[in-house]
Amino acid sequence: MHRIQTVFKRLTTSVALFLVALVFYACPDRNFPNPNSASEETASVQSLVTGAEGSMRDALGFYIYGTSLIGREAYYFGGDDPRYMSEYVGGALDAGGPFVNNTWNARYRAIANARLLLNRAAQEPPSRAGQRAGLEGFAKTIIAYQLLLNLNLTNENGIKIGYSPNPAAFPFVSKAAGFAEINRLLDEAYAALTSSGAAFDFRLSSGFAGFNTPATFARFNRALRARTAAYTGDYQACLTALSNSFLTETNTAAGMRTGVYHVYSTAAGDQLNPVFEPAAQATRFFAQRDFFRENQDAATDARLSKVFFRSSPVSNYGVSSNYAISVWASNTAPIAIIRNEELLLLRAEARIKTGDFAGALADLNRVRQAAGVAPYAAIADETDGINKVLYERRYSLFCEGHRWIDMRRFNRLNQLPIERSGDQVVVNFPRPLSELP
Amino acid sequence: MTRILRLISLGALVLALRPTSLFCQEMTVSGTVLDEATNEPLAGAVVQVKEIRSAGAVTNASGKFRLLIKAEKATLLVKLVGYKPRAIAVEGSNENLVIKLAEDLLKAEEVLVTGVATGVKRENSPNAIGTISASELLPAPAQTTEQAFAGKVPGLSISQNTGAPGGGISINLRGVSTLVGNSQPLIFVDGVIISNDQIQGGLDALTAATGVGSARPQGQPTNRLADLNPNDIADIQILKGPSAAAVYGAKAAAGVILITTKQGLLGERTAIEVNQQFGFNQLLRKQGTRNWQADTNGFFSAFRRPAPASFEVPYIDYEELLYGQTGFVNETNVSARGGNATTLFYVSGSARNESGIVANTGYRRYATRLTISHRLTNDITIDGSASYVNSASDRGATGNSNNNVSLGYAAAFIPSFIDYRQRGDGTYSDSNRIGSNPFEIIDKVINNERIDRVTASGKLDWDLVRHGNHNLKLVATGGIDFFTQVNQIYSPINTIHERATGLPGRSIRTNTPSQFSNLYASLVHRYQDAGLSFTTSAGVQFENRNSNSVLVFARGLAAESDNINQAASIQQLQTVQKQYDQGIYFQEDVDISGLFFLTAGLRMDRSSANGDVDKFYLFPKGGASVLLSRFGFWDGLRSTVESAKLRVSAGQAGTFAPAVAKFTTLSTNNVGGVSGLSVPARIGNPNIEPERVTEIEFGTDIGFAKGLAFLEFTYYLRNISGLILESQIAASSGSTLQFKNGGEMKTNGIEIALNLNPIRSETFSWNARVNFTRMRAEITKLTVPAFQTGGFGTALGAYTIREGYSPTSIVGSQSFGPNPKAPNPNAAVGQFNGLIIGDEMPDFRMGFANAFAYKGFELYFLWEWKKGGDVINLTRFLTDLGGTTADWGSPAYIERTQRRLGQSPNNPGVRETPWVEDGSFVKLRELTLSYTFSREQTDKLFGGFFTNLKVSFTGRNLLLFTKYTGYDPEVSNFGSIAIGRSIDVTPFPSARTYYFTVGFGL
Repeated sequence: MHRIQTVFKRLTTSVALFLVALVFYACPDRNFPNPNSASEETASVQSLVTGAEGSMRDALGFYIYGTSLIGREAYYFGGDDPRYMSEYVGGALDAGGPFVNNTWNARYRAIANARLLLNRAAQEPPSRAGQRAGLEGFAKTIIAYQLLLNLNLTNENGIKIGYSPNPAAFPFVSKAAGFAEINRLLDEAYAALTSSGAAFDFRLSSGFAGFNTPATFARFNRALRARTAAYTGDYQACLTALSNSFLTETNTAAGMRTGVYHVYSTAAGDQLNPVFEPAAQATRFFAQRDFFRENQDAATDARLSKVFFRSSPVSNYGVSSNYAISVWASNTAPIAIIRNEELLLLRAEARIKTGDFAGALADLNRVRQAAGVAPYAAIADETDGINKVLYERRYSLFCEGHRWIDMRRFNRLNQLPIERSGDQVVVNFPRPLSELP
Repeated sequence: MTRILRLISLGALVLALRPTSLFCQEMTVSGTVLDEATNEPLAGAVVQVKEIRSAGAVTNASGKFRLLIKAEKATLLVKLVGYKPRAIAVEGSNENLVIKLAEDLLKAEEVLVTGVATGVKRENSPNAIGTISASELLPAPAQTTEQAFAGKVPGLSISQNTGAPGGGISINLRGVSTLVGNSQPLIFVDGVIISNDQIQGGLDALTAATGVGSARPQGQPTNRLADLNPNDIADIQILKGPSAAAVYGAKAAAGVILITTKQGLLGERTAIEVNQQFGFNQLLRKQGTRNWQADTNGFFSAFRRPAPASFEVPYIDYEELLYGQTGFVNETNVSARGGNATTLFYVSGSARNESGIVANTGYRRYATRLTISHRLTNDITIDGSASYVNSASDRGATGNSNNNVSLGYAAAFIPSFIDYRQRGDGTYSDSNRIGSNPFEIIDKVINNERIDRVTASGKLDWDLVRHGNHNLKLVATGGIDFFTQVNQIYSPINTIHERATGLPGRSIRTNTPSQFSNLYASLVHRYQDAGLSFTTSAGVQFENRNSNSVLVFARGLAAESDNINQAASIQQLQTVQKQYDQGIYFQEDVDISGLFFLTAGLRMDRSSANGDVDKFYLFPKGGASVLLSRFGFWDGLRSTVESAKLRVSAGQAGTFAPAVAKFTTLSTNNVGGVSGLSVPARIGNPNIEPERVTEIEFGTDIGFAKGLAFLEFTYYLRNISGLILESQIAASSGSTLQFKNGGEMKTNGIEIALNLNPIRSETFSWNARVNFTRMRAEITKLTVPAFQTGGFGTALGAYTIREGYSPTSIVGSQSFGPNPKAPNPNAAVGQFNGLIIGDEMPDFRMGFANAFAYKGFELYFLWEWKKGGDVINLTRFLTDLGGTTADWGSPAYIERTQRRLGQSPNNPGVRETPWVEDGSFVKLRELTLSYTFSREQTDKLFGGFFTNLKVSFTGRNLLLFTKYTGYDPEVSNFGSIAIGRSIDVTPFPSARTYYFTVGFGL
């Protein structure tokens, strides 16, 4: 009997001890929210807007290197990855590799952010219709611009205009259907922006200075629309869009720079200009030599300051160059999305294509005057006009992602210099492997 | 509560009074305990009186003991670890008893862990459980504990990720069991789950190998098991898979390693052991660099340099200059063990200091540990252990890089005739315009990691009921493992590589406090009757893990200072990891007359890492063994085959999804000081579940007479379901990866261990141990499209995850699109054509150890052989580009280049990935030549000052035989990830280490 009591006591004591231990070791809540992030639902509209703006810069370096190298404006080498030279310049793009996928992925990531904003816009009550329209106009413009950048690369291979994790859910659409979708989005955005209030409900960065209200943002929207119109050869629509854009008839260098930019800073969580390299110490990013050699006004053309002459050539991967790239002055220098210089040249192109040679000449000479070179006397015919437009675009928009696309849309890729035997000029980026079912 | 205190004090009083109380007759028994085979006296054997469960006496260095017994006759139980116990009846005083113990060569008596609080003798165990004793662990000193595991247990493979000082090793049990989950086993030290995490220190911010905070970092950090002082370890048990480890539940799929540290020892006097080592590190192997002297044609074709008047270029051996330092190693270990009938203690201190093979790199570790075991009453024992470690490593800048701030990467682009050495005036040049100078990096860049770590554990063992055949125990163990890791990476402003950036000067600081805590409480009931024994255990477990890493990346430093306050740009990254788990377990072990042993268990787990945090996941196990040699029909065989056992067991265990898998973590994308959040590349899955590994294991253990040979054979089969995948999703959705439970994998393997004692005499003995492991794996089901992972895109070699293929298969450019050499030669552009160009999984691994002892001399060596297993050697890709590969310009080089460019005459028009190499190797892991002085010699030479004295010459990783062209086929640019390990990108080369050791006891 005594024994049983002892056993019972010990058992109760041990259970008690155990319970005490449990209290000290209280179970923490297992159902905690993500300790490392806000969720898509809890993030503020402002943070998503800034996120959309910020993510448009993701992998932009790949876009600039890709278009500049394929367009033979520049070479990119140095100790690092040889694939810039083998894939972009060599022409062997790996559909599963970063040189195809990085830009593609980043553009659709920015689109996903803008799509979150469209969802937020749809949740706005009718009493905030103005703000809702502003958000919609912003988001659709961003989506359209990002689609355009991808379509610029894939070209005849097309893009996706439906968004699903399942690669089989939406097929690739043709280049024409891609442009149709981009134009639809731009036009819907324009309609929304013009029906919106006087101000956005959110802030945009200094890259949108002068374009940060619905009315002024709409001019940026029309500028993009003018570009897509030119790319599709719809020059009448191009002229219409330009008339509603921020095109300014100026002949100053500063006036050429008016426009919308990606901005960079050293602030926390911000990005730095991905393609800047101090020109005097540059080891990687060099202009293709013809950029300098083929300039017709080497003594005066201010646009040649976009390269920095180095007395000893830098050779690598079978090419060499004396010209480091100095398009961007610092690691916080902005990168243009679209600016007045391009708009003037777009109008010149559209005017040539619609027979207004005099108007076109005036636009070309505005650009030339700003660059410090003598005006053209006349445009002989359409071919001469297009030659002149392409020449000015080459120098005015150097390394801003245009040369390859311009040469392609005028079927002149065969005029690009091939310095290494076996290299090929890429025409279309392949469809990324991740998108194939 | 007062009653408990009274009970405790009463117990203590009884114990205190016992030796002096004289209320019955007594006798004195003394004698000597000897080894049966060698007649050497055995120190440290415990002699107990069976009837009164007294603590008894312990033999001294001469094997002598003395006992006062309060009875007229008694049974003495004599026990010593590694020997078979003996029971001897004594009647009346006896002053000259000689007790001989037989060495337990088959380790039949070794108690193996089968449950959370229960164990079973090896001879009964239904599983093949690997064990490593202290003497097997460290015949040669090791920098870190896990380094000393290599080649010792079948199924356990150790692979070094980097040769950088401080370690960085991945531990793998039975091959691949997960694709993205944790592939490293769960590690307990004295009942505390310790962190073996690899915490990124931010090296990627320096080398620009990838972005800071990338999901696939390349910083090659240390794994935190490295902090455990290997000299404190008493033994290690390795539960290789779910069939043995199922009661550890949802974290046990990768196996469980149970480490027990040294405990106190009962003895007349405290035993002090001192161990002093001196040694040095040397580059294990050079890969060689191209010598351009006397190769005019090659030189001009490669570099198109203007022809000099006379062709004379210097040959500068950059490997020698960068990695050729002889690093001094110095290690001191001191320990004291002692105790009396109620309290035992072990205390140790250790200091290790070493320099690496690269100047300004090195590792030091100071460690101390205190372990106390106290017998509170006859029924209650409490154990406590605490350790503190302070370590620091300077790991240098190596590995992948996108700015050439990595020694090997930069050196790959410096041909041997261009002089990069520091100039006489102390400056550095960059005449090949690679953007950096490796000698300047060595001299000026700091990559330092510091650890302060406290681990404390406690155990309560309480015999609640001991009545007749019943015994009920409460066993509670728990503890806490806390450390702070501080990484400091500094690259000063006035360096070539910093001047080339827009914001010269970088300082990266990472502080990571990490806390693991766990508590197990079990009730164990044992019933024994007439050869039948039932052990029932049940309990609960709580485990919490918290870590909070804060990285600050400062660029544009204001001065020659690593202070981050005055930088032009600051970037930060915080990574919080929390996981809270609770488990319940139950286990029943049945022993039938020593003939059959049956076990069954069940574990239930819930965790914050699962999508459903309240759902309990069930993990059952069961096993049986039959000791054939105990049956009557074996009588005729017993003289040759002493023991034979058949065993089978099956079990399930899990792998939790990574803590981030269920959440979508938005990316930060600030613009102009406004906070921005954007959709991330990888999204979470709110329905994620743990992976489930089902394993069945069959085997036999056969022991031959007199310990001549012991053979352990095991075959296992695994099915892994609900494989968590970072499955590729269409990027047009906005993200590229999502976690999913989306696959199944089957693996199987054979493990053989053979222990031979062919010669065993008083003067000479030979022990040989061989182990063999072979495993295979195949993805059997994939609910997501096949995808590539690991590496740097398919053109440079990547791993492919697709149905019907091994998960470690490697593919390259030639595996996609049309290729006449592929199984499907007409595959469409970009489509997989069935060509696998390599597999990381080796054909087999073997360990081969031999120990010869002659009088006091011992010669021991351990070889490890890995056959097969491919490595993607991107170092060679880089040196090919830089004109520095040893065979640059040779036909082999030309072929590689042609294949890369799709110009090979063997396969024209098809671009190939030519850097996948066979990673087979044979390594001399350990070598020891030692002399142990006999007691007579030490007494004669040193007048009894030492109780023992041993001197040895040892070495670790002394020889490497391989056809692999890199430094070491054991390499992993991405650290201890499950898939995508064997990628070689200019790593920190491996070292060999020699030691001279003096060890003595006081």
